[in-house]
Amino acid sequence: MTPMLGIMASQISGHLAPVWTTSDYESISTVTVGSGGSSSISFTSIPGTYKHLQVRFLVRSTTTNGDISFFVNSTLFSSRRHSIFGDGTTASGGSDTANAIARQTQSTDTASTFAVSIIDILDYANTNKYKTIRELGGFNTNGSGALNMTTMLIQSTAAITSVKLEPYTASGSFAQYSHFALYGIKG
Amino acid sequence: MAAGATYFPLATTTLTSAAATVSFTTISGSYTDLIIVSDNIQSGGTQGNLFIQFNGDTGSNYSRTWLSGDGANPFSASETNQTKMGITAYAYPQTTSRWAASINIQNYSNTTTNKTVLIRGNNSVVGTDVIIGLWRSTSAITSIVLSRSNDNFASGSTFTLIGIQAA
Repeated sequence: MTPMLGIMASQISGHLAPVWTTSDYESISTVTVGSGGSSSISFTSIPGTYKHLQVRFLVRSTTTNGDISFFVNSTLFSSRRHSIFGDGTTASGGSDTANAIARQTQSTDTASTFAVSIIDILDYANTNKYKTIRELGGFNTNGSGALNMTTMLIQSTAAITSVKLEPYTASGSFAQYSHFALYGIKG
Repeated sequence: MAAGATYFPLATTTLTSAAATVSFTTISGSYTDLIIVSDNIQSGGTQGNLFIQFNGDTGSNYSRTWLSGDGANPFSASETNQTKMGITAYAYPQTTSRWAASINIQNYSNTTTNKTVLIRGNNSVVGTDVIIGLWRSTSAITSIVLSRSNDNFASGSTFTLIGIQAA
């Protein structure tokens, strides 16, 4: 492919490295929420041909619901969750059996401002062990903000073939321009 | 259905001498997300934080929240209306210990949302950071400048820009 950008560093001579590609990280499916919003986002029929999955998303709520639930194989697992949080003032941590895994900005937050999150689903197709999910995400609205690092146990040995994200307690919808992308990582 | 290769290292550089800034310019809008991976070190002088700016915007349009640990305690704090976005808090590079980090810029090319940046930075000597930053602009990001206070990026510092496409 043709290089499409340059690197400049003051007081040095930067250079463009040869551009290369890798087929070890593949886009599986992408959803962009339309003008009517969406009550949930699902990725189904996920092939078992990768080692790990990654979900990357940009999200905002149509209401004041700030959390997102994560379904695996159509089931809302509540096995175990550990998290650390920061809200701009206090850092804290905790563990529980809640199934919320990520945050979203709310309808009352600064307009056009979205939360982001990256969820890694490790060894998702392995049928000999429970699955562990890790998430890193948060939001900033120039006045408030939050960060969270979460790990969640999926207490099932079944291969993961579908995932669904839904506003916590099914309250509200994902707002227009929210964007969800599922990737497969080979190993 | 998988779309084939979607992870493209677009450009990389290893500094051969100290530099005050590193810039990525003329960034194509062909990708969904950008990731900058950097491993850099302070060239000398006074230690300081690292910053990022987009599209040459020096207005007070940047803010951030961070969650950090220094080996003893966790911390969280925030800044509003900054002229550049801080991308280090406790894990800043030093002359003898490196800052290893990834900077995720999601949906960088859309023209409907403000841009949110997720940073994960580490320095094994001084701390670890997670930072969420906001650039209040709906413009597509076409250029990025990395800079630091008090000092230059040292020779040997590496910077790689990666583009991720979505199906």
